Amino acid sequence: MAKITIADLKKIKEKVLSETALRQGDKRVRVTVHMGTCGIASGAKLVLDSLMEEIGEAKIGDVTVTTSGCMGLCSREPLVTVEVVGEEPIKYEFVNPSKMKQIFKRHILLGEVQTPFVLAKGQEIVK
Amino acid sequence: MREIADHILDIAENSLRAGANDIVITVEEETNTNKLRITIVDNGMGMDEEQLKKIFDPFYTTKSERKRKFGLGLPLLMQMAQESGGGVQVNSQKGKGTTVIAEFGLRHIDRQPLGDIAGTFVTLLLTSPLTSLTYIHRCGKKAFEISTSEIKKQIDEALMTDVAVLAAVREIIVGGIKDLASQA
Repeated sequence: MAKITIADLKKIKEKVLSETALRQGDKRVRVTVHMGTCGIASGAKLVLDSLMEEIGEAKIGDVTVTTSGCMGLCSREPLVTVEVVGEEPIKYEFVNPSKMKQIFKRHILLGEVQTPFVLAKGQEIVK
Repeated sequence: MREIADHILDIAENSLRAGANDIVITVEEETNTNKLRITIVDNGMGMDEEQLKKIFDPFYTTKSERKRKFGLGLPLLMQMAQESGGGVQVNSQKGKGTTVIAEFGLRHIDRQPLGDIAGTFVTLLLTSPLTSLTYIHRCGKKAFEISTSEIKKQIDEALMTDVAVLAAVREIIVGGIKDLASQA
């Protein structure tokens, strides 16, 4: 069976060492892509791919990406939450790969909330 | 769902939420029997017989959190499998884990494509970097295998979700599947 080879692992290691050397600083932003059944069915994986691509191209290391399950707003999926340290979280609705790129470039990098795509601002409260 | 890889992601995400720390995803293409078989094995909390009876009922869910959970993942997978002349079987033991086996007609005109399985693996790695994830793809006599436990021998665990690691893992999976001349 063609398993992952030592050469493959070395390739990963070299790539990580070279790319992480370019980046410095603590985490400033956390981006959560909601990945319940509804999110996945609406294209959340494509949104996540687009986000990872942007982070890779920007060569920044202060953005953490996480995923979470369904938050109960299935009709608004794909949903993405952007949390900038010291600011209230912003939930974006109906996100697609091109909207994700815009959110990354304008909100995450420049701090400009993309109001037309915003569903809500602030923490979720479960009663 | 647009492709089988999305269903695999959905089922494996359920495994993670069921507390699994070891997930093995196997894709087998059997050209002689015209079958595409997907197997997802986890060591999560498992289900009892009563729960197992209901898992294909739309809107049934074992999740008990307060947030809304809809329970459509398995019924949708069953529908997709049946459309290509296949089906889904779930075996589970409380406290031991769950196995989901989905079969599709490999060359059936209504079978959805396997799709971006590399993206599914990378998403799972990002979601739960501490979980041991294994992906095996068999195509006739050829096979490809990747496991995060092997990668962790070379890469610090804290770097497993680094963009560079994820991109390299994706590249290796895409290349590995290409070498198999997959029909999926």
